[in-house]
Amino acid sequence: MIQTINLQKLFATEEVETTALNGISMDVKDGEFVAIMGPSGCGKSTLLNILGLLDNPTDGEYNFYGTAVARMTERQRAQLRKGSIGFVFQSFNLIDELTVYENVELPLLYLKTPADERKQRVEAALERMAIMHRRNHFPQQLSGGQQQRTAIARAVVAKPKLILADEPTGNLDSKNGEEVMKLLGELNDEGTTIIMVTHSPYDAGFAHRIVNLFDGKVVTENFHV
Amino acid sequence: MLRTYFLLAWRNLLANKLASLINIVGLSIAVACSITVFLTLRNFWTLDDFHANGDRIYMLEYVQKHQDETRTFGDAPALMANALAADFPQVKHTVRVERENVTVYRNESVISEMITYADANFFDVFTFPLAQGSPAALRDPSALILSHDMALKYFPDQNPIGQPFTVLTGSREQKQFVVRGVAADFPDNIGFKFALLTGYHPVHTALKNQDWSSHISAVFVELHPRANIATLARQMKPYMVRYNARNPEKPIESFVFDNLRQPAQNAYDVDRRPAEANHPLISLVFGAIALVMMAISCVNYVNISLGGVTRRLKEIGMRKVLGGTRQQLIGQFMIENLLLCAFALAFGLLITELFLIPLFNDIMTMTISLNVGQNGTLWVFLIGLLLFTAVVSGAYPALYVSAFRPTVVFAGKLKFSDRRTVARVLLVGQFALAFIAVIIGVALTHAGKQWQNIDWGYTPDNALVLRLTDSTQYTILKNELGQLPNVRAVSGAQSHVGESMNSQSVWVGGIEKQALVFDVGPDYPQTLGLQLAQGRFFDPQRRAENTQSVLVNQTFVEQHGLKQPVVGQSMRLDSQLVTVAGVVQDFKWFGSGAERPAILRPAPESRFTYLIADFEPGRGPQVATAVTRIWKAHVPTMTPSWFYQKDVFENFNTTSRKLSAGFGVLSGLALLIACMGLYGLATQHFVRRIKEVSVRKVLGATVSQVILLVNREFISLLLVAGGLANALCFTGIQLLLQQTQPFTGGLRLGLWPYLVANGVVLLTAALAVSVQSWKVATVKLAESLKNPD
Ligand SMILES: Nc1ncnc2c1ncn2[C@@H]1O[C@H](COP(=O)(O)OP(=O)(O)OP(=O)(O)O)[C@@H](O)[C@H]1O
Ligand SMILES: [Mg+2]
Repeated sequence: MIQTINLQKLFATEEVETTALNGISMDVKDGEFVAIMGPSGCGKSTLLNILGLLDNPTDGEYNFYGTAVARMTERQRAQLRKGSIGFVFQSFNLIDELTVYENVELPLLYLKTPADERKQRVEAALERMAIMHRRNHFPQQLSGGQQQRTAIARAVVAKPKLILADEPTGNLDSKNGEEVMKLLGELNDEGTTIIMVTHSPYDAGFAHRIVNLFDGKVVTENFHV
Repeated sequence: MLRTYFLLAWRNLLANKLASLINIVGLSIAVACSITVFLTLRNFWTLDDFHANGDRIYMLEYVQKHQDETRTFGDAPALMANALAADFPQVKHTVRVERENVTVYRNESVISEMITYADANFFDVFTFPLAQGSPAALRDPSALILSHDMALKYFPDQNPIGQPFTVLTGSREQKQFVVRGVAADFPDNIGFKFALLTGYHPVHTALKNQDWSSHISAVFVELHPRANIATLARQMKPYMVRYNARNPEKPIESFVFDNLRQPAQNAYDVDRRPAEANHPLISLVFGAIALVMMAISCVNYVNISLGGVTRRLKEIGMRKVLGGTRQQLIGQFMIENLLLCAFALAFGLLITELFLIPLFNDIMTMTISLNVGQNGTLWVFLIGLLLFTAVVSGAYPALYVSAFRPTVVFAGKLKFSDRRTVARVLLVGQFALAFIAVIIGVALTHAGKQWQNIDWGYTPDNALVLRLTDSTQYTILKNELGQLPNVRAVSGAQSHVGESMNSQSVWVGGIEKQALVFDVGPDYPQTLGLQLAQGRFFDPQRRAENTQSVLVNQTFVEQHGLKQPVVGQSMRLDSQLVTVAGVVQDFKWFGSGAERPAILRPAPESRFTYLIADFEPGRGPQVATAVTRIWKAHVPTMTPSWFYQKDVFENFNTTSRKLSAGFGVLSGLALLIACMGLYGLATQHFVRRIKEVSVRKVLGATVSQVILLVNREFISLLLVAGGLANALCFTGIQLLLQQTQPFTGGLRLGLWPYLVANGVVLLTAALAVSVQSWKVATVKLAESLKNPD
């Protein structure tokens, strides 16, 4: 269960000061599928980065599964993040020099999972994302959809409680996008909490709840059934 | 359109400050060195080119055999000048030139200058325009013509014409001259020059009573147009015969004519050549340094530009989408590149003018100048250099960038792992170049240092050497000099270390070997300060025994494989059986040359041609005065000819010092460029991996894991490159030393330069690595992951 109270994020550059987040308070319950929507530049990615412990808020509180993390150091956040959050990015962010298999294996290596268990879990994840036949390919040799499926496999292989996805279908055509959304839906059905940023109302339809942001504030929340 | 190009180019330079800085500074230094090397080499190669009739002016040289060595000399017999002029119609002029050191007293200081005596047709043959006065002054034995530099030196704010000028000649006569002319400033590429010039007139003591054994500095011959020098050279035999009849002890093998404009192949090796000539090895090393520097800077440039490609993908992609053609993209890139190279050229010229030229003129005692208005070749060279740098350093990145289609980059065509291998190989190559530049730089500097501190095998500081002219002098002078309070010991020699040597056959156990033989007085080794390694010196008391003993040096023992104990072994020398009484430590007889086997053999006093006085430290001048006084008392007709032993090597020292200083400066700069390139490269290596590092961090990598990861590859590539470069340099330098053994013989590089060079590279790398590691460790994940690339 995660909860934010009055999150603020200011970006100060030489010329301007941007308030990217201006008092965001929201709760996400375990097992929820939340979609964050809003016009470009309203602060969606910024919020997701803070929720994913990649960045600290300028002000406000953030309770991550019972731990106050808003003022943690980078090192503490990294420790907490490890194995508990999976990330899916719009631009996939696969490591070019590693094969599909190696990319997916990476989180488990950092978790020091024993070799035989690792192999089994990586293969299961690849099987699940229907990318097993491409296990020895490099990212450049894959289509966008295949790359994103690899990225999702990598996000789930450590069995995180929470998956954060920033426009996961942004670079995909509708068929591949649909496939990715189905996979996310399945993961959610199995109990993984998912927070996803999207511009697509169709994709948002997969979520239980839509949070609409505007100028760094939550404007509306819609609940689905 | 062009304006946008330039604007974009300018912004790009500013946007990548570190890369631009490394590129511009590196290229400027390389350009500056290339210009300096160009000027130096042009001087070397065009020495004395400016004489209008240069292609028809020849120096008369002669070849003589000295034991086993044939050598060419430039100090021609004086009488050859008139003989050639009289006997051959195709000879238009002959000019005799003699030079002598004179002393000038000016404002209470004593200055040593060189006076040149030359025939009256000197200015008809040579193109030395006079700024003041007339060439006719050479007909007047009391008239003096000054070079531009001399006029400035002695008459800085006064018209020198008509001024008296007094010199003290080598034969201690005072001569009153009147300045009658001043030469225009000499061109930079002058090899044969004068400072004080007067007519070749028999009233001058140095020119009196010349016969067939008198040699003078030079005899120049100018032929009529279309006359053939080979024909003339074939008719020299009668003169040789005539000369040899008068000089049976030192016969000439042949006369040769050496052209002023196109010197003979071996010109650098001609002894006492009146016009300078440079060793081709020097040109080679200078050229190589400049080339390596340009190569490093260009490779740096290519690498750094390629590294920037990813950064610029968006711009490139956009331009293509917006309809930019391949040509336009190449154009854009080349303009950026030209702009950068133009900057580099401008800075390079500045560095050359402000820093390198003064430095080089100082250390190389020659004149190079950036007088762009004066010489067209420099312009051609500069423009060529700009285009060369721009094209070489820019073409590859330009083509690479413009051919870049984000979707098809290598994917599919090339396996990804292959591409990574290519990148690794490139990086290793670049690192290796940096290593090589640094090792060569340090090695050259080190070699220069070593050359300066050559161990002569004895201390030459306290020895004064007097040349004797007949067999009776030694005994008389030795007795009188021995009485002097400041003289510790006096000895004599027939052949003296540093002056004369004589290579001979020795039979050791029936096998013929070669060795340098020095015929010396029995106490000569001690007097000179040679160090004993085994056995004993000659015993001055036991003459009879001495005639059968010799001393050998350590190289003799090593090279001829003498078994221990060496002392007591016998060998045959000049059909005489001799026994080794002792072994002396190796000593140098000339310059840095390789050690050669040497033998010291006792000689009777009657054959001595040198007297060596060992004086109390610091008492040289007093002893010199006394020597002159005593000499005058016994040989009133002649001036004494003496020198300090330490001056023997002074010449060699100055030359090697200059050269090594020149090389040192250039290689120091090469080192700088290499290190900068290395730093830039390291920076890039890490920047390229920022995204990967960010992804890994998101996936749970700790800071230390990440640092280890990026450094592991960098460091292992660096080590591979280092290993390669060290091995390459080691063999290369070893080979070079072998090839140049006669010049560099004593040079032992040892491990020291390698240690220092590797230390420098590793330190630079460590600096880059720590700075970059810090950046990688503290990378802002939220930002670095935002961009697609
Ligand atoms: N590192 C940064 N420095 C300065 N300003 C930033 C930075 N990152 C984001 N911003 C600003 O914060 C605001 C929110 O940015 P954010 O990336 O969260 O938008 P977004 O809602 O994800 O937009 P999009 O839908 O286009 O991805 C924007 O105005 C942006 O310019
Ligand atoms: Mg966003």
